[in-house]
Amino acid sequence: MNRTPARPVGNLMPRYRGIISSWDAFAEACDRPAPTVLRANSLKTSPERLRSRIQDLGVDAIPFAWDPLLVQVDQPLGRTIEHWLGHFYIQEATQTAPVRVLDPQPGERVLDLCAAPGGKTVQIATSMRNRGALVANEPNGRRQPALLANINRLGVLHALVTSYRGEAFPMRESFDRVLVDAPCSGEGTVRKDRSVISGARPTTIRRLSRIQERLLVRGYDLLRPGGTLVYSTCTFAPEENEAIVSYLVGQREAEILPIHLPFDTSPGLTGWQEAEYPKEMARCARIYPHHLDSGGGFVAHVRRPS
Amino acid sequence: MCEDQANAEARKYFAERFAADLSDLVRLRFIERGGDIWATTAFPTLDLAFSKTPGLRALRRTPHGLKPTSAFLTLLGPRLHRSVASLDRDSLRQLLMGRHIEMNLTDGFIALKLGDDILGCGRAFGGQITALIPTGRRRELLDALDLRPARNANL
Repeated sequence: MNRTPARPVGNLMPRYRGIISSWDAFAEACDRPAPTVLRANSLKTSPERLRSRIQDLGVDAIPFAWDPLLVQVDQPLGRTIEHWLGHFYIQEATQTAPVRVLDPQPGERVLDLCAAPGGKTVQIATSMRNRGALVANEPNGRRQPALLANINRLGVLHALVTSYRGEAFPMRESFDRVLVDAPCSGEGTVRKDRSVISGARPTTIRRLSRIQERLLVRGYDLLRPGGTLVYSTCTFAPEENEAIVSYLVGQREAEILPIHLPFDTSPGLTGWQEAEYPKEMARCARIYPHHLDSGGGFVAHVRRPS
Repeated sequence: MCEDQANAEARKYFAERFAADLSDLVRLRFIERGGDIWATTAFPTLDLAFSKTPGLRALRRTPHGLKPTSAFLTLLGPRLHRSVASLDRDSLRQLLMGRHIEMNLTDGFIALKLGDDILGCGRAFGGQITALIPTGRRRELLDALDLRPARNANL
């Protein structure tokens, strides 16, 4: 793979030194660009056909062992006919984890509460094989065109796009599964966004955490009894991750489910600085860039009791 | 228009104009919203009044009759058997630049095809065809096919 020269990581997120055990591996991963990964769109093509077309372009395409839809490539492919046709979506491997945990099934009713730009929405659609109903909600009018464009480009036929504020999403429908991929401070994107290299600002984290609490509670309330929810972010800040899930557990009878992913993760935290979190937070998954040579993030799997 | 009417009208249109075989899309349903006909497989899982965009927009009503959207034609791809303009790269470039080319197809809306790929909607009239792919998507397609002229792209 072609690598651009390493860039100095400087004062890399010092407040997480105590919670990331493989700090050197973490720092080394943050110091190099992330590889380009495509997710084949099985609504329009097969992974084999996509790989064949990519290889015809003279590009190396290496499939992931744990997900046949994922392909690592050695060149950017955003300006190719295959991308234009919607045969694939460019997505960090880490970003596929929340929908993998959500595991939406054909015929179900699924809500993606914070959907734009639509990468996870179309991943959900792929898992559902265009069967059932997928509500893709995005309140931000500037972000909604990207969501609609991706739904159109990738050929999603069962998505209903709505534009409610997530925390006020109407309670007139209930869902088998809900994804709350919350707006966050984005520390896990450090490999492509160096502005977060020293960590997000506390004011940003506090502002976002209030929104995240409300989004998660509303997402949970929209579940049918027995339904499941995934809460995810692309940040490392415990205040936006375990603290938010702990808040839900304090407000509702939510059950935190264990997470099984086919790659290394770290358990969720049961404490941070002065705060203590319920012990089941350890069932959540923290994903660091060195785990998957990708971005970072957090995933929690929640069930509403029957 | 009731749901069954829109569904029947759309199926008849694609069958007659494009000889389209939609038999493998067993859950596909066409419904009318806001003057357009949408293709959806969400029906009847959820109340579709929930959203103004209940699937993929398939057909628009125009003064020239029903017009298929490029996105839906692209999705149908190999299911289209008639009113398809097979193009080479130079012809496609001309069309994407807003020009017309000579081609004898029955007047009406057509699908533009390059190789095995359906790229979107066009129109045949009087022995000529033009592209009706939306402007932004045209630019992206020119880039994707590396067909964009160095300057003065008149789109």
